[in-house]
Amino acid sequence: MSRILIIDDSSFQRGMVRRIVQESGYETIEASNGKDGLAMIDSEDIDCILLDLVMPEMTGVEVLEQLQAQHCSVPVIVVSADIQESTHDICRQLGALSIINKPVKKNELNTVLTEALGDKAEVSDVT
Amino acid sequence: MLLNIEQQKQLRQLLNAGAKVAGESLKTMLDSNVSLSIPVISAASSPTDNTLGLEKALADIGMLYFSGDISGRAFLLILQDKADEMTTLLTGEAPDDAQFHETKKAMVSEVANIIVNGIIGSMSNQLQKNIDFSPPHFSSESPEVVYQQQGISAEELALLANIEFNVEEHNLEGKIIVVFDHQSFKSLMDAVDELSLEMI
Repeated sequence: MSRILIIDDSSFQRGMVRRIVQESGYETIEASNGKDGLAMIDSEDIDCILLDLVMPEMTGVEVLEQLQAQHCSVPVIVVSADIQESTHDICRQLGALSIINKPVKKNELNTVLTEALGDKAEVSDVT
Repeated sequence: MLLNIEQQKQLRQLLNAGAKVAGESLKTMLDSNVSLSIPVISAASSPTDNTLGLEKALADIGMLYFSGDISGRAFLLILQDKADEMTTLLTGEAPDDAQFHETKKAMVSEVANIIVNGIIGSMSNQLQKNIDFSPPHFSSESPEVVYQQQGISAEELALLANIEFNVEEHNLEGKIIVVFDHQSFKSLMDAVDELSLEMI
């Protein structure tokens, strides 16, 4: 089963995303800020990261910068309320595979997760 | 008024487009039709807030700062009983659940985050500006107190945009207030004027 790391400071948003991801047959782990998220990426086996942008302590953009510097190969999907094209451009330049806007739509999230996970997505199909 | 008629019209159109984005987000979250008022723009000197009877009532409030090419603050105000109903609708939790208040704080904050980003982010895209957002802050106050705490006063003349939303199916209503800082007026109006010229 693929393992998805959700990094978001909002417990409400983590709950909404967790529900969708788990219903789609994936396992989730969570971090409430960028620093804890980076620590989990180092220590845990993770197949995909769902990353918020505006967070206290360490922003999502800073997390992307760190991951790029570390040549991290785990795919990152940015999940943000920020709809600015300029922000989306920055995220893409820093290696984000996809960017989806909040509120998260189930179909949209599942589509980008399937793309991000590739072959790993097939083993996680649970109906 | 600090803006001429054409500037008011352009700013209202910008805000209206942003409000539509925010309305779509609310519609997605609540899976219900959401109606939004046309933004009312005024110079904010000691605003009073009678339209929803909010000035004395306690409201749950999510607030964000935005900064950069355009700066200010934006508030989502929902009367507390309506915020309770919205929390139950979105999470299934009941008001007597132990974690309900924490869940409501997180819900109001995140809904404010999504709505304000929709409105201001849409403006930013249209004006081709860059804006940074703070994480949302939650408070339970009367709007009057919030206005005072946030320094929206006659001394600090600001531009205030007022949008009301209504979710008839669930009898939910609330208010979105955007306060543009006096200091960012010039860049905001320059950008609005540029946009007007491009449209000619």
